[in-house]
Amino acid sequence: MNDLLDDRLRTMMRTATADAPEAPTVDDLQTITVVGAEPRQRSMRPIAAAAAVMAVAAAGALVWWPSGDGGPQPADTPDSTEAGVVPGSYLDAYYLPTDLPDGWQIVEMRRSPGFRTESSVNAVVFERRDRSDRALVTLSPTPTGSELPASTEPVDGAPEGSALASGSAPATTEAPEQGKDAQETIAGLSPATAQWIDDAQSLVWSLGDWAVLLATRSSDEASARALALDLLPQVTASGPSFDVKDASEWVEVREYLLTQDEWAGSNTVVLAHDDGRMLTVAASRPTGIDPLELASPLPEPGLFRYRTSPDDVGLVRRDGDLLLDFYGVNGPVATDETQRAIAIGMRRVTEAEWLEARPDLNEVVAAATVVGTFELLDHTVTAHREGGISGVCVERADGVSGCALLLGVEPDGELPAAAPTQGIPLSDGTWVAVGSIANGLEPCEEPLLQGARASVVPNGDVQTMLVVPADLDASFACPLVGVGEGEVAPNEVFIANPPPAD
Amino acid sequence: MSSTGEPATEARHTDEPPWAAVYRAEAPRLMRLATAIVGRADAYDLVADTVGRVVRRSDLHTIDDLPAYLARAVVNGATDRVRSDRRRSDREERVGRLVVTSSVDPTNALDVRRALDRLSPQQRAIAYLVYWEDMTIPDVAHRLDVSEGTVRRQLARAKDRLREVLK
Repeated sequence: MNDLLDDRLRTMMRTATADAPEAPTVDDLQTITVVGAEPRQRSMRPIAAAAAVMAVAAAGALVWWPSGDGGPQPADTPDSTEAGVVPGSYLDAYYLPTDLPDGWQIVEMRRSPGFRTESSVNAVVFERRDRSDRALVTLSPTPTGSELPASTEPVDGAPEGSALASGSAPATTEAPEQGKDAQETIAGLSPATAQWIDDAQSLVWSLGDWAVLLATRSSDEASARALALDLLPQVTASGPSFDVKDASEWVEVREYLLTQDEWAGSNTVVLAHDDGRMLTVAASRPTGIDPLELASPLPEPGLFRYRTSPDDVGLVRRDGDLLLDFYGVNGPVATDETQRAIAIGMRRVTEAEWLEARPDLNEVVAAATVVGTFELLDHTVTAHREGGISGVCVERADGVSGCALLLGVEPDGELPAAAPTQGIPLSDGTWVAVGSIANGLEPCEEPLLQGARASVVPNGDVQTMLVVPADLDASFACPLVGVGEGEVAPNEVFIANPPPAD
Repeated sequence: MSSTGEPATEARHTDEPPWAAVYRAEAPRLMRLATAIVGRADAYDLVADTVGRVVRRSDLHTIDDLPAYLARAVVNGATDRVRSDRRRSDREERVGRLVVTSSVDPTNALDVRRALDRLSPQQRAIAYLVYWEDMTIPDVAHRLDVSEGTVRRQLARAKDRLREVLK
């Protein structure tokens, strides 16, 4: 049987390679500009990333929270509704599901402290006169001092080794880190030549030193372009804003002039189903632009749906001044009746009740079936997967250990290359980071990491990487070297320091 | 025609960079490898992109085994490309995988392409090197800079994934 299969595989490979095209000539290789096989798409990635950032910012950072270096929670956490956000404090609103449907369980609960940064964002909400569509136009200043080239193709002239040159951002910080590149890329675009970004379903252009992003509820490009041509730039004390022509089909509904980016923190519950579905519920209190400006109400009271990507829609529940954002990893949320029922059933609880309900993540992950084991730097890394649980546990030679959920661990233990490199808190208060990098790459070297050690082992399509920090209490980037660096592969990975234990 | 009477192409070769001869010898294999992994439509771009990047490296002269290095570059480039495509169009890929539900004619190019889509880029590369280049497991491991265990494991997985459609 094997011989027959081998014969067929030989035939198959002959067929697969029979029509191989002519190779590039030596001259070709010397003269081509190496920007990758998909230069148009790749040159748009910085814009798309920035558009995503801006869209998230405009949506009140529904699904984004920091890695958690805000320090411990003050003992007297104030009510954030009284005097704005207190950086480092936790959101004072906690939710738990009431009756979970069969197959669902809570696998992780975490909270992230609030923060405040100085950043200007202006936004204007427009609505069609017949109320058939809404638009949110946001304006963000470009970084001061950046030179804006006339070209919209930034890749060739970028410094070697930079994210701009590679066309690829650090694995887990792509969106936040891409702002400057994006501003440079969209420089020179006007409302008439604005670029439509599929990933963000938005139109982007520049207005002086400000970047403009226009998103509509309908995600209709033609509608967005029509509105862009009807906008009239205005000058305010907080920077530029927009009015709209009297004859336009659109009218202004609301204007935001914001000089601070505040985030009140979030309290998150992660649910998993035996069949592999996962649902994350993040409670937050929006402080800037109303995240539901472009959301569409659902029949159930308080529920809204909003577009998160060209293919997916998210689900939000409004509860007074609080929002609960529901997003799934591997399945639609807004159209899933079970998950909508979970959303409606989330009830407000006290902090004590919430903390009491927290599962022991180490036990949850460790109890799942071991699908892969790796020895690295005197640590044993085990990949676990069972039902909806996938994660990684690390045990040091002296018995100190810790686990973390890691979405998408393959049944054979292969870790997902696209997932963030994850910091795992260990039982003695230290932490390590586990992640994946492409075959052929090598992790960062010691001097760049202030004593950190990194090592990799082959693991199928990727390599499993372990980073053991030393004297580090913050997240950091780990530059990669080797074949594959450049256009597509990230040239560094971001090592996310785990949130402080609380 | 040069002053020595040699053909212009020969004269041009004398001006070529040191890597040119190695690349010219390896180019057909690299193209077949790339075609096996990403298909005909993307093979040229993949090789031009990855090899173009390698030959611009300032430390190119320190690479001991350039043919193996170029092969790894192509495989890694293909892996990144497939992974990137997968993130963008996971839905399309799932649909694509569902297409292969019946037996595959190993002489039909379209069937073969769909069947190969069931494999990871590394598995496609290993299958190509074993079944087309007739390389041994140790040779494949050296060529791709992975362990022999990885080659055996990935080859076994590839065969498992293709077994039912290649009956």
